[in-house]
Amino acid sequence: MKTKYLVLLGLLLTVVAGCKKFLNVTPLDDLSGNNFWETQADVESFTNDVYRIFKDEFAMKSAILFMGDVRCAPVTVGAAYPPRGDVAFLSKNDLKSAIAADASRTSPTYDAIKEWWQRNTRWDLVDDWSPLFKVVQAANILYEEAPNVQEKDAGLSDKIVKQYQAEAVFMRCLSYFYLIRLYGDVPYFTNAYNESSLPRASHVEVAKNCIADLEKHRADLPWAYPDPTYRAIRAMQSSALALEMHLNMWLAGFDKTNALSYYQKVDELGDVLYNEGELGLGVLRLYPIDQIFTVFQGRSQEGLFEIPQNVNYGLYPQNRRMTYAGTVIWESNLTNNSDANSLEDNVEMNYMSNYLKTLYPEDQADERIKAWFTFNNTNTMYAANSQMLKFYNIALGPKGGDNALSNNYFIFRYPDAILLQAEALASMSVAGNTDGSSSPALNDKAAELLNRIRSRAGAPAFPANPGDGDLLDAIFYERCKELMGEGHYYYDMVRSGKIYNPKYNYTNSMSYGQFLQGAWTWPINKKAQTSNPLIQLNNYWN
Amino acid sequence: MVPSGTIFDAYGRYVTSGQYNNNPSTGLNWEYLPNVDLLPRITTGMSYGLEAGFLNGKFSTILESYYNQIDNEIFNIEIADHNGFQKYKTNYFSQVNYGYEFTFTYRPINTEKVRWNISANGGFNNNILTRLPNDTRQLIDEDPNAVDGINQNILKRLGRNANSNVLYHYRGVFPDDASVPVDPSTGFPYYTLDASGNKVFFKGGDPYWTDLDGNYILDERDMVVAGNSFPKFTGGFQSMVTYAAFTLSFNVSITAGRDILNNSLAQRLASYNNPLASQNDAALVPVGDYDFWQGPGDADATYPNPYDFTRSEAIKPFRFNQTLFQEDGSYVKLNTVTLGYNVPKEKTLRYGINYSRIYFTANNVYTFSQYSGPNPENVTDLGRDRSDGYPIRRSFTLGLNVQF
Repeated sequence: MKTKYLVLLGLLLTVVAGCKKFLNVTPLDDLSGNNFWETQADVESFTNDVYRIFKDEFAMKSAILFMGDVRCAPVTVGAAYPPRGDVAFLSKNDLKSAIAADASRTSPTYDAIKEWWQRNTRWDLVDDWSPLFKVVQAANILYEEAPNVQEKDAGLSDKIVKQYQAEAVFMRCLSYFYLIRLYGDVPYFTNAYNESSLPRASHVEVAKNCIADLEKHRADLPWAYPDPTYRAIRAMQSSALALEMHLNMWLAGFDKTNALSYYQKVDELGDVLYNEGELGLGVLRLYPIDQIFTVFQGRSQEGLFEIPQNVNYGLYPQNRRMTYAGTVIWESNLTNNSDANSLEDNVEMNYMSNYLKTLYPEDQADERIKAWFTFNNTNTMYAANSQMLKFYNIALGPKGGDNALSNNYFIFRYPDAILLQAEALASMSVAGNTDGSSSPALNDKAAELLNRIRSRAGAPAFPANPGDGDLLDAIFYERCKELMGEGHYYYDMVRSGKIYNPKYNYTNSMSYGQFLQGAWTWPINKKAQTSNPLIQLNNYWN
Repeated sequence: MVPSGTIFDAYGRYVTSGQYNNNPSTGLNWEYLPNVDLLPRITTGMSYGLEAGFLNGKFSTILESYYNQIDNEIFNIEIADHNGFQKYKTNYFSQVNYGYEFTFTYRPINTEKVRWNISANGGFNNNILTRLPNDTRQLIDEDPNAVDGINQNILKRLGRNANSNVLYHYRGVFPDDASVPVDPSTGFPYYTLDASGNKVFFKGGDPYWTDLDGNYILDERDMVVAGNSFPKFTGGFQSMVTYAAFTLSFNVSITAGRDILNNSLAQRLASYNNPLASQNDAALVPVGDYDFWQGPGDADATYPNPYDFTRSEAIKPFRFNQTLFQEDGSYVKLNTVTLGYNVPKEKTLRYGINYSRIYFTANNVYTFSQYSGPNPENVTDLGRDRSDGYPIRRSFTLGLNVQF
């Protein structure tokens, strides 16, 4: 009798074991999720992919990162031939014309002179929001799957898992940050493998959720990586702080009733950045102005988050005209083996000279003029063919060719965060005046932060121009100066409401009425409505 | 219960995607969103049967009525683009098949010398959709083989057959320009839009498709649900007569109540729309034997004018998705006829042969059908007659079986 049971038990066991083997099929061609999430190396390579999607599918497919410097900006079409029509359209906020140009060059009405730039800039792809949502979906999957790998790989500690999860949260929130700034209200989800169709959630709510999300996971990120090539390339605690500061400033602009609390939050976060990052750990610092070019090569202690580029490894945008740097430097300096043709000594985009005279008063010292606007020892900054050499690899000298643009794309930089904190303090002091709070103290702290940036550049301290002694204006112009070409100008104007103020908007490209109707958003591609009846497009554009 | 889908459908397909910061990256390929809740397909069936024999086995029958419910079938849906992925395999597709099946066997003569067996079998089948993804009531299943933007889509609507075609309703040919209806409110004649959105007005010799919504514009809102490719009845008929050493047998198969879209004819006529193109299937086969529009005033042509190639890109007179090319695909086919002769044993035994049989078989003998194309049997599962296949051959076999 006993043997009978034993045999039965044995039979049962073989059946169970056989069944498990049968279900866990190892496919020969590709990996399935069942076989992929096994070791820390798998998690690492999937994390790389989250960043890669952001870089390849969002940042490098079109001129999308350049948009912040050209949309509604005080720029004019440079003298290069053929002219960059997109610069004219974008600076006037004429997005319909910018999108309508034919990139395929096949339509019967194609005009080679008027539309040639579309093939190079691909503004027509910016209305597709799915690349950013791919980052969101991938980050959500990473967040969910990383803890499950611990069952199979005992070497994966809780701390490392949490760090991967925090990186996922950072990339998700960074994507939402771009989504809300580009399109306004967007669908919001944080669950992995989401398949349901969602309506657009208010961009204010999305930003609030992202801040809460980052608060929860920020501490799991490292301040610095053991491998210095990861610095600013993978999310650090300082990257998350900068993102939170930006989100708070965005909310202060759109959720005005609670603006004070957002400004306070920005100030607190800025203090963390300074006290822990710069003073405590020494992982952040401002470089001397004569070494600032090393910052733009990337991976410096000034960088908070960057998209890596390296010509040597084939990491560069598909087209240099998609970038700011490739638009404001003479073609002769960027084209390999170019013969010195005077026609090529022209830029494709120029700043208006009265705007540059506001930023850099003519009688005022500023080392940035020498570092960024002087070529062959000649400062041509107010001229029609002046170059902006901030991102140019000056070590290669003139005619550096493609290699001279091996700068990283900047998402956040330490001076950006410092000036945001200054702006929050100065705004707090203006907003808090009614209840008699200690505004001089706030103003002093703001001015001190502003002067950090100014003194580094060798410019006279506040209350010197620009800004005519107005602290908020001085900070705004300092952001324009210091962060020129880093994609902040347009979004600063939008969140602070300067976009509809003719004093700041040199091209008069948006009225208050248009702003309220959503002229600050980008049109959304109609395919967003496929299989999703809940989506309404942006009324102003679509 | 049958497992459905592959391991990739449930867990996702991971591929080497590129690199970031000089480190390799592996990510999902973004075609199908992994469905972590994928369920096995479940078939629930019920059937009643009756088996009876009469008159000492001379007459016997099996009658059966069945009802099969198939749940959790995989169905691909497109998902909203904010999910990153393009498609999703859902389980939420159910259908019911029900019907009656029968077999009759009759032996009218059963003597030593003569034997005759007749049997017939068949089934009346009904197919009904009972559940669609996201609890929608209907959706259009896009044609994956769309050519030139002309989709032969299939309507999936609850309570209907799962294979209903969606087509333009063809009414005939406009005899001349004057017979094109004119919108009294705008003064525009009936028109359609070309690829770049310009109006192209109908003229004499163009097809007249019903303007279902009455706005004098032909577009996809004017399509109707017409026909289906799922046969209502399939069956067969066999007979075998043995007379002394001779046997004669044949069998017949029957398919009724389904529609065929004659794509090969449409393609043949449409090849004149672009006579100079060098495409694979663009051989200009003469179409003179078809009754097409000859010139102004020709009111009773069956087919529109195939030669108006300047406007045909917009009008698409021979679009595949129209009722003009939908035909009744019912047929009765005489499959095989065999005549055999068993040579008597006593004549062959002295040669050491204990059994020998000579026979003659004809296969694919004749098909009775209303269908105008070559063969109503040789079409795809969805009832489309493609022009790029080989016809089924008719074969004759003369054979000799010998046993030593």
